Amino acid sequence: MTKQTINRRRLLQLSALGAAAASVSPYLPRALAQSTDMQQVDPKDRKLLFVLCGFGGASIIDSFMPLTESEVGDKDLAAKLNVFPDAMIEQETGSNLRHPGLLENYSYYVKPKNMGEFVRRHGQDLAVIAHDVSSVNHAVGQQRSLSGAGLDRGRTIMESMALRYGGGMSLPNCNMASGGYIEHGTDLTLSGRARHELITSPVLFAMGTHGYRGQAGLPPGAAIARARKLREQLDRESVFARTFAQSPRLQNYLRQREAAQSDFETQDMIDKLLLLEPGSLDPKLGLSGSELTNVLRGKLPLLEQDDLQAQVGLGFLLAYHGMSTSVALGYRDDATIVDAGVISTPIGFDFSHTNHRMTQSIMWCRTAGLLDTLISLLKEYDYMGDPSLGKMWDRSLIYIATEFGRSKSRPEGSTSWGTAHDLNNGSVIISPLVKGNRVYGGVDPKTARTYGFDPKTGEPNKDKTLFEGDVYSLIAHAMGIEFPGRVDFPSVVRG
Amino acid sequence: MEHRTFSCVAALVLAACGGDKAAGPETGEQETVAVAKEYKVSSRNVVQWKRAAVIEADLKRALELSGDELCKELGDKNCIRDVHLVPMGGNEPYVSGLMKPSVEPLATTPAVIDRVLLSACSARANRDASGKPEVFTKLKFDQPLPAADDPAIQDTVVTLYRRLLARDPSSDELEIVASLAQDDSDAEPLEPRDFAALACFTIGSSTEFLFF
Repeated sequence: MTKQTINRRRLLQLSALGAAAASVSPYLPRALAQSTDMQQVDPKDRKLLFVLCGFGGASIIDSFMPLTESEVGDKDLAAKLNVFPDAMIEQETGSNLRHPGLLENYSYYVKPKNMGEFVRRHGQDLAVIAHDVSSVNHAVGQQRSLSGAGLDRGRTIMESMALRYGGGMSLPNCNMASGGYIEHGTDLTLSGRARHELITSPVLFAMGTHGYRGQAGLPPGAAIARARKLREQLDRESVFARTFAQSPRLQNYLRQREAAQSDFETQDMIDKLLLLEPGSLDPKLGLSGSELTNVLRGKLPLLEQDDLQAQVGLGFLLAYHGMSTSVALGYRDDATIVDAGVISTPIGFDFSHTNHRMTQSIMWCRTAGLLDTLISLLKEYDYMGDPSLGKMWDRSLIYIATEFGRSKSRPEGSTSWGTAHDLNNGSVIISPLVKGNRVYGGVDPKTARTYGFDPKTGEPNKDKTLFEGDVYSLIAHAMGIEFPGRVDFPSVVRG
Repeated sequence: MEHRTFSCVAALVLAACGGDKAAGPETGEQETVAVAKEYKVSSRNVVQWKRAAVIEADLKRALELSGDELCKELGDKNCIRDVHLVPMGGNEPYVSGLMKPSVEPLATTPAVIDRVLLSACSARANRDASGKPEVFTKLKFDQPLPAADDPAIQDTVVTLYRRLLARDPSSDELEIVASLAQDDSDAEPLEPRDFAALACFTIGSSTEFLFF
């Protein structure tokens, strides 16, 4: 037995291994993973988080914190700032929220739907939070918008939701976004199941939840079940399986395989999550969909052409059936083209580099339209179809995340211009769990930059700047997620 | 140092032999290979996930099918490249903006693997049953499935092991897979075509095919 010593070289090797593990492997040996296992929560006490990831910088002063020319009080300065003609700003009766009306010209894009209807229907639950961010790099900013810049042990807010409410759920945390919004958090103690399931084909996702249903020409199901049992024997017998029996990756795969068979298939997720028109499918495939399939296809008529509509549909179904506690949706890089024409800009809000005002208008209106459909569904349906659990909306929170704001200036007098990334911005939270119909913070009319507010009183404070961690804290507070260092927001959170 | 190297090589050789007995070539005869019963368990535990492109290539080669014949969803969508690319470890930068593949298998990966393997294996079995067999050459598709110890069954299993895992099965493995052909009082007797598909699926969806 030789004495074990750790010299400098070995120490560096171990450090490198630790760093590699931190950056690469989201899974850890089971014993460690269990240290942060997900809590099993009675359905009546569960909450639902929906994150809409506004790729490219959803500028808050182009949506719910607009500034008008007259508010600047200086015509020359107003001509150089991103402000709106007074006549363009609309405010619904009884609402404290203002928003820009539609533009006259949308070039070759389909003219979007005015945000007014969205505000009328859901404004009472809409809270606008002014804050800054800590990076103008897309990927970094995107990740920080979800992790609060690492405030809670590096977990994303969706991972924290999965830990808090996801025990016993099939897919507690689903993510359909892209870029930095699909980066996992950096907490290595996190249970693998709390990390998100990445979904890039929402329309066809249901097919991947069953090992064989929906495929024609296969052996009978009972024979497949028998073959699966024999496969388990092979996986105990083979030299490979025995040699690497302790591999965390292999162990995780085998656990997932067991769950897929016992959970996904017995729950009939393939039918429950089906977004395709069942009547259009070959009867030989044996897929019937659910009663909600046709409802969703009616409310989201473009879901086979518009990926975001499909994401909204799938996200709703995952939440409705109690399969997920957290669902992230997100824009793709490509422009969305449907039969009527082009309905979203390429690279999401980031097309503001080319045409700021038009891009922001198209994307904010599109966001409002999609969320209008989602919220209407959540208000209409009982959680898990059980009236005793109440409407889904009563336990839901929607967070419009974005990585940064856009620059506040424009070429003098210009009505069409491009903008860069800016640290200053704000976020939108819509939920009956927050005190809505209110803007928290304000906009300095001399700079068009937003400023913060007092988390306790909600009073605007020009000397106060909130950051990503504050938004994370606010959502965590509203959703009942405790962690050391959480900043409470009694001014915003109800109860 | 030399002694330790030799031991490692010996352990690897023994492990590669795959059990107490290895099945023989296509005759179905078995030759005994003396190897240790006990296996060394890897202390490093590092296995790699075989991802979409490699699984597709391996299945194409093993089953002599084209990429489009392996698996289709809804009759026209390529399972591996179009529908289930991400849970199979691929990335897709153009439409979904997914620049990097998932580091680990996803929760839906096992179901997707079952789906792809069952489809590919069934496609091969169906083609062999309806035309000139290319993979399942020992089975008579127009006759009842023979018993598990029949040479046709044994040879089919050995062939599949060679095609999918590039080795012969141990006698235990051979027995396990061949048992698909045994009478199961709870179910209808298998057709030769279903046996072919399921034997292929059982081996091809085992962890040895999916990780390396």
